[in-house]
Amino acid sequence: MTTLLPHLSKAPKAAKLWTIAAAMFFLLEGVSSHTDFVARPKLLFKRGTATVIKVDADRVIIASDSRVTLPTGYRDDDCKIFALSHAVVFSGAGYRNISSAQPAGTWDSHDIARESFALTQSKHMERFTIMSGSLRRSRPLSKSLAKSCIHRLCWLLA
Amino acid sequence: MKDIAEEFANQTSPRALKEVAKWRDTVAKKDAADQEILFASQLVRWTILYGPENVGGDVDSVVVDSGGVHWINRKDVCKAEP
Repeated sequence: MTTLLPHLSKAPKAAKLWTIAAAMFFLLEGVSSHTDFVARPKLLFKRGTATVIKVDADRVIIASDSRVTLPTGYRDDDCKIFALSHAVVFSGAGYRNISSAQPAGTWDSHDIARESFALTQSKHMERFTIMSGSLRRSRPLSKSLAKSCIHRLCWLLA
Repeated sequence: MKDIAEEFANQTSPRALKEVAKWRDTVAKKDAADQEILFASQLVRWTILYGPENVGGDVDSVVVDSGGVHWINRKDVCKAEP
């Protein structure tokens, strides 16, 4: 059995790859193990995600759960991974969707991703580095990323 | 949630050792590449099983390689999306 699955046996180096991949995701995406709703009336926040990403030289493997946590309960039908094209996929965590009754409006990370990706397919593709609104909301730009943006005319979604 | 994924990936607890051993039996006939894909999904399932209540439901999984996007598991409701 061990020989059939050496990366899960006593090979600590290989096993750490999984750990690092998982840890990187959670650090980058800011997933918490609890649900915290901002105490503002008439705003609905949906969140809660477990995603594992494995990256190697030949491929990327992504697996994610389906639960959306709501103030009134949860739903298990969320599509946390979706394809933006035949070669690009998007996976989100943290705040998935925010809707407001007053003022009326909705912020949806998947919509932002689609809109952002569509822009990259435009004739301006080479001039812009598109960053998703969810990234901007999750954390400030790192110094290296900010520097890259300056050189590459980075465009942040409003 | 990260702690649970690490626990099962590194098998650092009796329950992780037990679950991984049981899971190995179910994938013994698959090749190593397929086992890695299934292991990613299984880590999410263990997180659902042993983690907080704000994770759950079916597990969607996908592989992206030089040939494009390959869905391994995808909920029917998600197939309507582009």
